[in-house]
Amino acid sequence: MLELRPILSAMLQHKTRAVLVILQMALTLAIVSNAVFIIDERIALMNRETGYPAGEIFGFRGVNIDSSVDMTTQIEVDEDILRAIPGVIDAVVINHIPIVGSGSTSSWSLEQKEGIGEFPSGVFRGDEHVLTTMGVELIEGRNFTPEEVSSHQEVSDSLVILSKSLADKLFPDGQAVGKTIYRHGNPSKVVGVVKKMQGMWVSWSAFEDNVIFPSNGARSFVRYMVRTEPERRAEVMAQVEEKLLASFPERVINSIDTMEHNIANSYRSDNGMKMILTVIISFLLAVTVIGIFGLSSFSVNQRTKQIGTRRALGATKFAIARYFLVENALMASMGIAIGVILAFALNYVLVNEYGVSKLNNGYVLGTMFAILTVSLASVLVPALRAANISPALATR
Amino acid sequence: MLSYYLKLSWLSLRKTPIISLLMVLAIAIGIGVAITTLTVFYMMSANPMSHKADRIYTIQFQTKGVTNSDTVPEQVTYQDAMAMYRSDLPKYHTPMFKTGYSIQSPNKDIKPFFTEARVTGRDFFFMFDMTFIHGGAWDESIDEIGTTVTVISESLNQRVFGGINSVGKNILYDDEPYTVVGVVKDFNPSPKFYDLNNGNFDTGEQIFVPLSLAPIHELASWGNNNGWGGEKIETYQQKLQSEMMWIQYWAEFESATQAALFKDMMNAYVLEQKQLGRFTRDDAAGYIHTVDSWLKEREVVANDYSVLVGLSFMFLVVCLVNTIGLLLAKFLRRSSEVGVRRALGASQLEVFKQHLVEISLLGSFGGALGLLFTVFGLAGVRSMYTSYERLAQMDLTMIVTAFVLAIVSSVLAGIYPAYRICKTSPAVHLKTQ
Repeated sequence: MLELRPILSAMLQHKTRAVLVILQMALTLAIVSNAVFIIDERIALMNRETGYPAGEIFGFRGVNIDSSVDMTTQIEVDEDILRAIPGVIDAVVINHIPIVGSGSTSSWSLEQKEGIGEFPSGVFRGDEHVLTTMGVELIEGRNFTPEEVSSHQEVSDSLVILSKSLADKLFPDGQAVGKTIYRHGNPSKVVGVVKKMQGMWVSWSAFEDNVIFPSNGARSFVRYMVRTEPERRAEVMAQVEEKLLASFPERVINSIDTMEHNIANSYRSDNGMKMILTVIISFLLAVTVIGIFGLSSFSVNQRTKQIGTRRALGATKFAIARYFLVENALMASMGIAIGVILAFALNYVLVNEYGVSKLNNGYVLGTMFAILTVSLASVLVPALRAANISPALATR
Repeated sequence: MLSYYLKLSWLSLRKTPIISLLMVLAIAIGIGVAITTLTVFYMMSANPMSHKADRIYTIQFQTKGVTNSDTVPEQVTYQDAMAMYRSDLPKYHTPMFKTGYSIQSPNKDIKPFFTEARVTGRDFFFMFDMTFIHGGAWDESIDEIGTTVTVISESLNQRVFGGINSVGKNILYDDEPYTVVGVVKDFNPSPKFYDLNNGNFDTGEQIFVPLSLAPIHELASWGNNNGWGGEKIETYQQKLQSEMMWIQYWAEFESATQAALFKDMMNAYVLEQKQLGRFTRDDAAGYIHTVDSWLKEREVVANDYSVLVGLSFMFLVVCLVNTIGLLLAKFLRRSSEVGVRRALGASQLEVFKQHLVEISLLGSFGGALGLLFTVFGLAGVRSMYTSYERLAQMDLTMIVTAFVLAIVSSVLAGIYPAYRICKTSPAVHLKTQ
């Protein structure tokens, strides 16, 4: 019924055409499955939960015109001004705004020793208002008290709050609170653990491993983080420059950006990769459709006489159409078989040379079905045209 | 014969407009995608100092403590840079780093703004072939004892002074007057090879101040500051004497042999520091890099990009496979016409040549359309990756590459179909009417 043998022998007589279709589908499978996989990886990366209520937070900078001015008292005044603005939940002067692509790092060890520790982390410094301003969830221990905040590093750095991701790495059996960890031999006692807190660089392996020190030290380059009620954020953002300059005008307030803006900025290249790959995939499928359509149309034209003969001998229109569909499905299967090997081979190269992850089988399977569908759809019109060939042609 | 074949090819393309269009489109899309990614890749891997390829060098020292990781630091300490600065082997050399200031123009109508500044010795301008529009670099004596002089870029001069010859005028950096001694043409090498720490393709700094001012004014480093020793650093002096790495160092030598002598000197310095107990690692060493090897070492071309170039060329192959099929379809359809021509005396070679001309014509159309697609593609890349503004630009080399690639790949695709058609036996087609 499926006429496999005649189809196969017909294919063998027109090897070139078969080879071309098979090759095309194999390459398309290899490229598309890897490309979709990379896209999905990037999407997953970009969708990671930040741990912050991003819609409520914005950050900005104040840069002094005269960088030698001592800002120690001014930053306290600034924090009070910000916290007094209606709509503000909390505000804090912080060393680095999260997920901006610049920051400080350190490394930790469980033993008091010299040298770099085994556990790298990002470092945040701010007073006891940091937790509420960040909107992060404290799951163990407690926040810092105002008395514990200091502008001297020996005092502020003796206590620390960790993100759970870091706490789990340091203390896999749990119970980080109360323990001491070391930085270049200097001890810091763990006071609390936060559920999730993303840091500075989206592509860093220790992106989610962060610490907070209770510090209120000042510099001429001051960064501020503010959390507001969600609907009032824009309103508050519009006021900060005026209010802060009224208190101390010899500075420039700039980079007033929402957290979503900073996040989007950080993921710019991943987003770009995603879009370029999507374009390539779409073009690839379009070209495949063009190719199969063109080759099948040609093939039908070449065999007009044979088709007419078959119809004259009693083949139904459906049988003719089915012949071409089956022929296409056969070639697609062979193309797919080769394509699967090519897909994994390509992935192997990408993994070893370019740091892509290992291909998940699901992507290959999904792409297989997509290609099968696309190729059958492309051959449909030529197949139907073949079916409409008049039997009278056989007698000419 | 060529013009005859061209005429035949054109007529033939017109006779089957849809297939011809599809083929041109397939080639054009493949070329468009491939050349777009290739252009950015090519610009990313550019070496702005290729004309002085083996004379300009930067240095690294493996100075970290024994218990630290094995990666060689990307920057050097102040003390190591200044030690190298004392050598007279280089023709030009300087340590350098990036800071920033608030800028106030003497014209009070212009609002204060912030900009980055390069803190460097005067050799920077000569090493990197910068062009002065007004004035020149500060005097050599200023590299010994710093005074508040500055060199500004043409753009900054335009913004602050309205473009006049501002030599001798004062400009306020962080509320402190600096005297302009020179205005220099904007220096924006791509990549920013001399400081890759905060953005490989960032624009260059607009103002330059003498390195000798750093300890006097305690200029903050706006670049990366890396430490490994957990030292307590509370004053600027402590930072200068510490093991913190925040300085870049570049040198130009008369020849590669001079550079080799410098490397020997670095090795001697390392031994000396080991004996003094400062470098404690067994593998403590100095390294020198040409711009080319530095760019490779720092992996300026992102992995993502190499992947994209690879995938787009694979895509081009798919387009070409398509083209082979479509060409076969097109040529074999006209077998009877070719049969007649063969019967009239055309040799197989002539038929082959004729079809190659037709393929080349197709390839040129595909290349032209592909170039148009590339323009759009590059515009798309620029809008997605704003920092690649200068990278996603067409230049003459890329235009020529696009055409050559289009024609060469079409011809490659077309060899088999042209071969098939030239093998047409005249007899068969004369018989069937």
